[in-house]
Amino acid sequence: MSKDKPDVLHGSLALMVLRILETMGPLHGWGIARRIEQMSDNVLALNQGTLYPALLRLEQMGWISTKWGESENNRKAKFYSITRAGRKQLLNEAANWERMSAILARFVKPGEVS
Amino acid sequence: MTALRVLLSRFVNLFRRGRMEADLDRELQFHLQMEIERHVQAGMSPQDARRIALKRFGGMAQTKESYRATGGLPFLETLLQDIRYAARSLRRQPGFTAVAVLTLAVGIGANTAIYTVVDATLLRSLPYRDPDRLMRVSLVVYAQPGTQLTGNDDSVWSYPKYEAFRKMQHSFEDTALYRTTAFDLAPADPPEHLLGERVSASYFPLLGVQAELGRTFRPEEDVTIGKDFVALLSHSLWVSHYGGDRGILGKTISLGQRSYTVVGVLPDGFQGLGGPADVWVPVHSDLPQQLNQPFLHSFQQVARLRPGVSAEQAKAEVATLGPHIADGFPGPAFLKNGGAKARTFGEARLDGSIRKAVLVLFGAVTCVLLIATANLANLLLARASTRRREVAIRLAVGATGSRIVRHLLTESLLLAGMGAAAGLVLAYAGLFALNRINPANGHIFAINQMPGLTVLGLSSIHLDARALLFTLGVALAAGILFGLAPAFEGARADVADSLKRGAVRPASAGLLTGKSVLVVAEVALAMVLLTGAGLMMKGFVRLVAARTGVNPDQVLTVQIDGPVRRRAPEQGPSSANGGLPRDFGVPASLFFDQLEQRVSTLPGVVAAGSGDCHALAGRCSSTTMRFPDRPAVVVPDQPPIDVHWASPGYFRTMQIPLVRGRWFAESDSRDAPRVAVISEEAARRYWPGEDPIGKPMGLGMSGWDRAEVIGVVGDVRYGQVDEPMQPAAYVSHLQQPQTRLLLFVRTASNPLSLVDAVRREVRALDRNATLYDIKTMNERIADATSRTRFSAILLAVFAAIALALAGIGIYGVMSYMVRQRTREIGIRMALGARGEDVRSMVVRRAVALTAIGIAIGLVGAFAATRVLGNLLYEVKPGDPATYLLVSTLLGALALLAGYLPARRATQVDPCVVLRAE
Repeated sequence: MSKDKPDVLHGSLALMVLRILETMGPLHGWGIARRIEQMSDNVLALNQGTLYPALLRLEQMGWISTKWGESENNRKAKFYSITRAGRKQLLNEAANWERMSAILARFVKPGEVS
Repeated sequence: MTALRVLLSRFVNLFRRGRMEADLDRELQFHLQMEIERHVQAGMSPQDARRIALKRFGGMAQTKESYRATGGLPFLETLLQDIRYAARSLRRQPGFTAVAVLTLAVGIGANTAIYTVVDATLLRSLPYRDPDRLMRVSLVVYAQPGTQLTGNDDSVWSYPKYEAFRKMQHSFEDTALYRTTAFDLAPADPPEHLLGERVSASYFPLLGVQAELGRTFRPEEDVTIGKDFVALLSHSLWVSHYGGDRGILGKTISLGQRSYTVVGVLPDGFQGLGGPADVWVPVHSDLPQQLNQPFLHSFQQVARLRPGVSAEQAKAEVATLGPHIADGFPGPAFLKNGGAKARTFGEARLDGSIRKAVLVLFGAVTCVLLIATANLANLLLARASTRRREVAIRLAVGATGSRIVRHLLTESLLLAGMGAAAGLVLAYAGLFALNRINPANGHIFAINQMPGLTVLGLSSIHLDARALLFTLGVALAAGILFGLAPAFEGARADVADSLKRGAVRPASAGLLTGKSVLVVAEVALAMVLLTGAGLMMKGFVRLVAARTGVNPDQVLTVQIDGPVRRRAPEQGPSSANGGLPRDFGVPASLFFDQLEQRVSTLPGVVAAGSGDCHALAGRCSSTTMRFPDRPAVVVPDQPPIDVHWASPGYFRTMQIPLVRGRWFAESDSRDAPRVAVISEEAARRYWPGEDPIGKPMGLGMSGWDRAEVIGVVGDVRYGQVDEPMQPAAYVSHLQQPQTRLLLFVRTASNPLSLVDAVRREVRALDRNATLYDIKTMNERIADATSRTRFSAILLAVFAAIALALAGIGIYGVMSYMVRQRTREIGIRMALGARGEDVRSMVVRRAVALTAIGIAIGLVGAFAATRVLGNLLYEVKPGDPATYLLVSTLLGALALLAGYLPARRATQVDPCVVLRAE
């Protein structure tokens, strides 16, 4: 883990979690953490510990639900899955994110602004 | 919506913390295991894998902390934590906790109990429409110059004067009359005695009281004389006697000898202005002869301010109109020479002395609470210093100062809360006990004129939401008050200093440390309280011992309504002197005479007599006095005199001594020349240096222009117990028959054992005569002194508590000092100090503190007891004996409280102390 890996952008962790759960179905915490790392090609430095309070917050908001189950290697694990409210939130967030990144992109490459 | 959901989930988590923690643990462990396995599979050694996994995780503890912060309510959790911690540390010191809670319970309980009394008598708003706009209007009788007649600025009205005033005034949109009357509800044997009111039709609309059922009175029922006998019932009477039957409307009930048609039922809780009334009849219904007699004063007047008119304006107008009210009514001059006065209900609600008594009691309990609070602050301060190490450790491991303050405050608030809970129990018990102290059935706080305005009696005073709120407030204030100083003191602890074993700071030797100031304050407060209580007690003892002029032991007194009440209404007013029928059953005029004779022959009866008024009744009839054999005096200068109707047996029964002349005799009958017996005070005042026997006198009532003085008897105190003796004249009820008299029966044994026999004699004589208000004479005297006794007992109780608390306070501080200075004492003793040196060192300090406290307390008491003023009976607020006694008492207490720790100090073993270094 090198020092120059960018941190997870504030607020984007929720979006990532929701998207992962939407595409991959129920997943435990470690699985989510691994998935984030894989998807970012191990570029993002996820402080794995921060994932859990974030998951709790999402659960409190009613966007994800939890259930204890068996993991792939037969261990007891807490599985998270996205709820209907979560899907709706994901759509909103994703749209927001796209708008936002488009705007940001213009600032990053100011020459292209017509 | 979401926010609420989050809050709810967080709140729920508070109660499943254990489960949440376990789940989190399991989840994180699972995560770690997976991560380690991944690294091991990638070829790392298990140790390296674990290290990397932990590193990538980024801190277990922080994650958990942050998870908890997200999952729960951090503020509430620290609070719960503080409370748990406080509860644990209080549980560890049960002795300390018990003393603290008990102290507080006493302070808070007393406050709550007295607060409910204050609330009921002074604060609670009256249950009428816009009570602030209601005023009581009274006639004023001026004090007579050169005599002891004190005057009365709250006197009653006659109907003609009321009408005159009503026409003249402009300040009020309406006025109403009422008068408390006793009724006998028939049929019942014996007829049931009820209190009722005769009221004008305007009474109910004016108060804003509407009938619960039916209607109230109509204006025409006010003015038609001799018909329209209608009545209203109280809710409670309707329910208790008529089963709450709505068919009661239109039915007739029998009150006294007349039938009334029930036209309405008044709402629950309405009892009239004049007291606990159960029936109401129009003012004109019967006794129409009263309505045109300008000098028959018996009505009270209440008025509602016209919109836009202030109470002050109304007062001014009434005062101006006052002197003109009697114009046009020729009559006794001293009644004519009067005024009128209006007062708001707030002012009329309690007379000054009751208001003051209640406030004095409230001041006293506040003193008790302050002392309790000071005591607790002391205890906590002492505790704070023994806990210095504990606090220092907490500070050292990173607790912030504010967290420590919060924690220590939580502890004192927890104590306050427990104290309040226990205090409520005490308050409840206290109110119950108050009812017991007061034999007059809780009427001590009711006033003569408008008992209906005060909550009647303590029995109806109970703990309610307001009292609970008050208790809560007091507990909170006390908790913060006694907790703040120790908390800051505790949080200030110097970490390094306190942790160094043995580096005990020597107790400050000065007198002005925090704890000493508290003790001084306590002693001063106790001094004030004890002085006040002492003065009240002394006054009360004098009051009880005050000469009434009668021998009240073993005397039964019964109020009896004679046969006149049976008189048919159509007969109308008859002869001038009392309007008594002579031709109906036992002649009414002889009823009491015959009754007396029958009763005095009963076995166990020593003597029997009758009279219209008993000793300490408060207020009896009075009129003016004339001297036919002296030059005529201008009417306003005629002196006042009390008039009593009595039988010869009355003097014998009450053992009133005959000083000169003779008693009434059988020969002083209705047709014989008028005779009068006067009191010594009257003889002294009106025939100074002369023998009044055989002298003529006149009384300001019809038929008594001239009577002969036949005897002089000892003075009897008929008025308020603390009023001076008034001159009195007795006239025989054989010469002027009365319809209602008190029968006095002196018995050989228990007076109450004769009640049935007396009742039989009354029934035998007249089936419809009624007996009520049956009491021994001693009970009546106890009633008359009940208010003073009540205040005196309460103050004494509070003072005793204050004394005990102050004693505990001094003791606590002294033992603490001894503990703090154990080392010093040990060294002193090792160097050769003797036990008595050490003892005197400790005692001297206790006495010094107490002396300062007493000195301050003396000044405070001197100032504070001025307030007592007229609450004290024949005791000056500056009474030196009381001050001396109280100071001595406190001084002795201080010696005792200081001696016990001092003795312990001398038992310090120098070897043990020095070895411990």
